[in-house]
Amino acid sequence: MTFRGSHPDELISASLSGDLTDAERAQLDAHLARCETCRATLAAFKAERRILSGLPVVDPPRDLSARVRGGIESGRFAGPWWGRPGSVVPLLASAAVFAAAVLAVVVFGNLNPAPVGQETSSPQASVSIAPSGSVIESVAPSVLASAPPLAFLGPGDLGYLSLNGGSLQPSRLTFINDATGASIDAGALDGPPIAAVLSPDGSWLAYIIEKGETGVNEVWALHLTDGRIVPLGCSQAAPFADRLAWAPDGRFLAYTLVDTDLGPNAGCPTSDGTLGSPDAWVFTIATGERSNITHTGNAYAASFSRVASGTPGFALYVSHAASQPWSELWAVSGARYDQITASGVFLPLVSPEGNRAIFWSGTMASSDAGWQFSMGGMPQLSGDFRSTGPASPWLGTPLFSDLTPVGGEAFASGKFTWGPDSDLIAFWDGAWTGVPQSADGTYPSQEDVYVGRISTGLLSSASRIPLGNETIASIVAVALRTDGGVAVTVRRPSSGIGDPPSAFLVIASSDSLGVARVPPRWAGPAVFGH
Amino acid sequence: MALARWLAFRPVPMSPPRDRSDALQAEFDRLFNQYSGPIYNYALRMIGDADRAADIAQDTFIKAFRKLDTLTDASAARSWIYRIATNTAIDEMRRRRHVVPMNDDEKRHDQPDRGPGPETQVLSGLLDERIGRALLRLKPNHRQCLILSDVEDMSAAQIGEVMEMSGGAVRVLLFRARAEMRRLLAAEGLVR
Repeated sequence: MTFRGSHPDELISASLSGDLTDAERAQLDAHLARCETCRATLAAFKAERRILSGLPVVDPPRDLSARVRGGIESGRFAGPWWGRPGSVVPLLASAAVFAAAVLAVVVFGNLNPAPVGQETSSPQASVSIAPSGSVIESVAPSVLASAPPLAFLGPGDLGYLSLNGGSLQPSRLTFINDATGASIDAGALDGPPIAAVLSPDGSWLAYIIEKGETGVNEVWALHLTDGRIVPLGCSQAAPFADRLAWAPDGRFLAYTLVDTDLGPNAGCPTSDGTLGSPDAWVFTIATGERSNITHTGNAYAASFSRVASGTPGFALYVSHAASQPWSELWAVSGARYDQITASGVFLPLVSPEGNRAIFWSGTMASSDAGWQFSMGGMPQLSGDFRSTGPASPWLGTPLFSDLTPVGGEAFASGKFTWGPDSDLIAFWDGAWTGVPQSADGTYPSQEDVYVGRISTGLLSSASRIPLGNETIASIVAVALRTDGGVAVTVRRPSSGIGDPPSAFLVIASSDSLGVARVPPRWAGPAVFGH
Repeated sequence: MALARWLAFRPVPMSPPRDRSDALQAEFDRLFNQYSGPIYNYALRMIGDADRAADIAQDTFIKAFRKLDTLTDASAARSWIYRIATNTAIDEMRRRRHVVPMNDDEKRHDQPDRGPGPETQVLSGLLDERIGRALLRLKPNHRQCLILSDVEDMSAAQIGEVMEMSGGAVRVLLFRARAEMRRLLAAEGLVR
């Protein structure tokens, strides 16, 4: 055999992948035995192959499945190449998104006493809307286009998140329409979902998942029409930090992120604030932007409200944790409405019709677990915001009519929600620190759910709803339907190391109670279609 | 009534492209489950950018779904899906060559926060910067055949199926790619 040139470099290369015939192998071996240069070439090629074959395998984005399916069903490929992250952008191509960004600022100019928006010239550029002028994060423009609101859930229909997979296999999250059996894949996950809220037009589902056993949660939004999944950030798990608040017009989602730092490979942004400090964020549907709208390190996203009767658009209540907490109404662009401050009001949840709110009152203290109520923590029902009387609507009525805190010991934390009729209410996961208020010592209980109506006397020990006989580790989430239907996500106790978290759904209505103990291993949280 | 139906807890259908036959759907699910990770990593090494790699992987599988009925030999699935990914990546790189780069200020606006994105962190943390730099300096066809050989462990014949070349041509190409990569890695201080 002859070689090209004086050395059989092609054969040396081919030998690495087993592509030599026997004759070629023999020829090469004979040459290598007498040629130091070729032995060096072989060693270098082997080292190079070792380097390349040792490259780490990176997990694909967990929304890849949803993106592919969305593309198949919609006939679309990945976003236009000129608009992808890292792309350079022809001027015309960016014009539409540029217009959208400007539009967002103009619309909020109606709400904002001092609009500070600044437009930029690319689809990726953020609109800097915080008073500090800081640049906020943006996401791929693939979520920019607002899809027609084809409701995945019909009015009153039950939808729930479902997590399948065991401790030794990847878990996959699915959102299921119980009425039709249709499902949307939300990708592989590290941990179970613990909160979910449907957007007012039913086109988005915002949800929070636990990130394994790290003590960190992740906030996501799933588009129910095209299956796209948008990561909204990571947050240290903390009381009051799992509120997901949609604007009533569906244009914004507000949420809270508590600074965390799991290291560079955890899939979470590295903290740029003080670890453990919460701030409010907003996801803008039209632009796909995520905006860190507060930078105080003690701020929680509460809920949206009209600024005043007859005023277009909505603003966000942001609550500040402190010994004496307070809440302020913010334009989503980050400018505070100084004239609308509610002292002693924490985490108000405005009713769907906008006329009342449930909120927390009491004295707070910070610990390793985060901010909680240390004295007198009690959920309250506000007065009617339409009232023209002299009393502030924030002089609330305790949500429980039969709880009497002794020595200031009351709830440290808890959760509440409204039914779609602005009458039905529910309270759960209440961490009562005071003396029991019932003879059997079980009231109030963190493992109970209390459901009532503001038109018929609020909540009491009689408001407990039955959850079956299964042992309960905690109440994860509750959703309400206008007719009184309740969907409760109940976490089972872990049976030990390696036992993946599991939860079941309890569905209670006026005439039936259903408990699912069959797979999926984690069912819930649930939502009802609007 | 949805509440009543819910109690039966109906089974969850897996990823549903609804207007294809069950057999094609099952085959596509199998392809995706088996190759989504490898194809994403292949694209990542070809392109060096996590977002673009995800786009290429996405487009690859959408194209694969549309062409699935042309895959008549299941044993050829690997070469088939890599061929689609290779052509998708080449198309993407060609399109980029027609774009006039902007100046640095514009680039900063274009990428307000490329910093701590999850994929970016993974790349910076795990993919040796010097190896990535050397790979990206190779000619695209050199990069392709080297990745297919040394990372994907394909033979010259298999690479030929992916790149639509003869096995002999692949051997020549591979040698040239190795020689160039050796030079680049040596410049990075990784080999002699």
